Amino acid sequence: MSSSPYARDPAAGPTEASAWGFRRVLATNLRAVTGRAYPRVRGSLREKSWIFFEIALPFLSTCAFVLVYRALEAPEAYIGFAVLGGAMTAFWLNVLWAMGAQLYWDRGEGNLEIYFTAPISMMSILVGMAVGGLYMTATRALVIIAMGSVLFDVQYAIDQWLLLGAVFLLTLVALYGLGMLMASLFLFWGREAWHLANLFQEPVYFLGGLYAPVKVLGPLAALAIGLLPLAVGLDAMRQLTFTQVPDIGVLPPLAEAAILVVMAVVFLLLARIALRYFERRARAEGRLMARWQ
Amino acid sequence: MTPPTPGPAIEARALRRIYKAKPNPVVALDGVDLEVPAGELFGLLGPNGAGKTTLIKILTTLLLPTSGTARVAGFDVVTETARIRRVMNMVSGGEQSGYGILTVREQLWMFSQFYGLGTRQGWRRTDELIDLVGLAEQRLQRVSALSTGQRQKLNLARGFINDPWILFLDEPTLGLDVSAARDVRDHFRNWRAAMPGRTALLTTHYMAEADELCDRVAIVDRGRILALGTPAELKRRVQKESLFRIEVDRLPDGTASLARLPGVLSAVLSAAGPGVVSPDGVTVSLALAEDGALAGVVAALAAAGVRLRGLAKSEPTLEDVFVELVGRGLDETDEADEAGRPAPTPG
Amino acid sequence: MTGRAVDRHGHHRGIPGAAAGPGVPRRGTPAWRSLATGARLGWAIESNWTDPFLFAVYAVARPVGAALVLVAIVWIVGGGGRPDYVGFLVVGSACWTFVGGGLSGLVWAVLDDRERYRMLKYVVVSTVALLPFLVGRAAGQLFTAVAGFLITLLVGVLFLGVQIDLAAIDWRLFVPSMAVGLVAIVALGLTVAGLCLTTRRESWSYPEAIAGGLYLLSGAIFPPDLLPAALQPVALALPTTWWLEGVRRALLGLPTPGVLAGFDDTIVLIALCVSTAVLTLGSVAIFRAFERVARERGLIDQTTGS
Repeated sequence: MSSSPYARDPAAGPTEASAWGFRRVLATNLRAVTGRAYPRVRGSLREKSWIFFEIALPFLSTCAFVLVYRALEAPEAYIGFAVLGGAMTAFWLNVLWAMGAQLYWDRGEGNLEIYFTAPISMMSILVGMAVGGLYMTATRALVIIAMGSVLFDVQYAIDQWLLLGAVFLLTLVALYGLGMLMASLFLFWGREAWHLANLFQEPVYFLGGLYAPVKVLGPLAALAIGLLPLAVGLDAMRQLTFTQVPDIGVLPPLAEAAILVVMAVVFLLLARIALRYFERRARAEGRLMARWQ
Repeated sequence: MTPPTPGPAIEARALRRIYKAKPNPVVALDGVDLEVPAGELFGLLGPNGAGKTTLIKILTTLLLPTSGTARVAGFDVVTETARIRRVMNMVSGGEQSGYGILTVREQLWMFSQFYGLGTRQGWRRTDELIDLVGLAEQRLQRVSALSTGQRQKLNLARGFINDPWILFLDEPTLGLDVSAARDVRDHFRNWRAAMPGRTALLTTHYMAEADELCDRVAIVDRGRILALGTPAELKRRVQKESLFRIEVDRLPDGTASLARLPGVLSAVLSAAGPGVVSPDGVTVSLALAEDGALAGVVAALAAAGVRLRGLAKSEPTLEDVFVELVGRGLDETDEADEAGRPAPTPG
Repeated sequence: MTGRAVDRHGHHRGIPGAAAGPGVPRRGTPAWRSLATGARLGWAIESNWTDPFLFAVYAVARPVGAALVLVAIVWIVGGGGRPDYVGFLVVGSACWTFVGGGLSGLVWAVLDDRERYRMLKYVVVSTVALLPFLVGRAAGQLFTAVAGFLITLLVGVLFLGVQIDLAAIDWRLFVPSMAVGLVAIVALGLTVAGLCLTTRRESWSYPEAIAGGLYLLSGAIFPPDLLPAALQPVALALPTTWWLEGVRRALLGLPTPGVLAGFDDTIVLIALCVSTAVLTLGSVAIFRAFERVARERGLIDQTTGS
């Protein structure tokens, strides 16, 4: 190895230097995940106003729905549904904005060019964003569940902890796969995709069953279960968490877990294809550098 | 996939890039042919909108060409982008990328991760490069608090983080003061001296910078290469003679005696200029067929008892070359482009 | 300078804004012009990202979707037996588009102009007044919210059984309630926008978070009586509570059951005006304070993303 401060590990030439094996490609992409998560975690530790704005205020928003149910004299289980839905909202918003829209922001700041000239997959960058955002998101979800459960005396009855954990993780994987797919749209369409995401935020609250079990939607339930990992995951999690309340799910939790597996695979594959396709189109049309699109 | 045969580090053949702009499409690159051998620092010199940045974006795999081919390290920029990205890096001038909330050290470490350096290795390399580019005092400062020159040094450090075989420099001294720009150029020179075999492509519209740093220079305008060669070769295009300014105490036989000497193309009296020692002397501008003819002139003056008080050589600059070439190029282009062209965009 | 005609304001003719010389102060851009400039810019940015049809869909679909979530909850969960509550919900949901639009408009104006367009520093160093400029910048979103408000009410009347009789609307209550309420929303947005001058880019989500908090406290979707006793005084101190009450009474002809029903229309308007005045004065002071902090710390032109 050269002792020059410029050199890291000089190979015989660029051909040799560029011949990476699978292990090196994997290791580089995993390190890229860490690298991209780093500024997000660091940023949230350095500036803590998010504790109030991202946790305390959204908790109040969840409380609003709880009080609506109280006003309607709904069954007590609905309070628990609202609390769980409020917690999962955090993950949905992280996927939609901290992942999907992030590439839109990064392009405006010139970071996209750096990502695309580095020897890494854009999926690594997106996973890094998701992982980095999980710190804030998970904190928000935990606070909502903990405080909501205590304040509103939510009663849980969990029999299958492993299945619940698996469903939660599968929901996240499928959700973040969907987020990567959306990120590819943001990459190409910029502001239009941003506004469309803004547009679909509320309908997803509705179809995703964030504040009421999907089953109450009737025929729309099937649509929701078929398209939205959030709807499937939340439906299964509610069934597993509130076993004392019968007949609240569309399908049995195990079946919904299987659907989540399929969704995760499909969304991740589609995301990979879409990212490559839109990257190529963006390169062809010069959109990787268009800052004010 | 068979490994590509060794060839130029950078290669472009009939490269074209057309942007779909309104009201008319913009031809940013119009059939560029280029070959840069390994180990060379190649300069692209041209005005704003000439196509320099477009060419760099294609070579760094950010942009696809409309037609033609380009290869970097022997790999095709369209189909073998992964291989290219492993061995190259890019530094742009005026770059504001990165995350302002991180410190200099953290930012650089983050970039090291994108190139697959191990965690500790990344921190070590980060610290080395921070010292190298002179940011040791700003190591723990947030990126958002850096001055323009410091930010560019950080960008430079990022450009070296993966020990690139091919470095693309897109106006790296843009917006920097004299001292900072000189530091940046010194770093490139040091890098080249320490790492022979590494290639760099530099775009700039600072003529002196290209003259100082580059082994060869291409002058670009409106998407075409107008001239290509070493700085000396390019200058000889516009000035084939050697020009000297001599100052003597007297010239009893006038300039005609000098003009008759072998190798002297012309000798004219000129106004006092820089380097003239005394306003009482006589200053003559000499055009010689070659530098060697100067010895004959000096000998003749000495034989005539004339005292030589000052001697200076004047050379054309790349700016002279550019003005001459672009002037010709502009005329030719205007004749062909009757509809008129909108100002070309990212260029 | 000699040889130049100077008008009575000390400006050189033909050189707008130019002073006759040292000692003659150059005037800043009037507040109304700063606001108008910001509004034109804000609208140009808001409306240029897509074709008009898609823009219309966007302007309408989001607030209607939000209303449908609530109505579905009432119908499906509550068994559909509360038509008066549907009206309460629809009007509250329709009004809430202004809160989201107003807060987001102001905060995103700061963050966009600072981080994406890098224009905020140029606005600050110009003669334009920053505060009215930002208010104008947000006007585009508020204007879009008007469409959302009207469409939500229309959907409520046509499809959800909400009883709003155009002939019976109390315009003398509706117009001042709406006007003063919008001032309150803009004032609130200014407070958050001021804060965001000193925070990082991730604070783009703060408007939504604050709107969510106010959602709970302002009686947007349930009467304030349902709040815990400790929070009810907070609800009554908020201008948004009185704004919603004024608009509901004007449109639906009925007061909100509970503590609010004990106040007549005049008291509602007075409470709205007083709370808005306090909020507005406070928000201007807070904005100025944050602006000063941002200048002291050199944050006006920072980029912070993560």
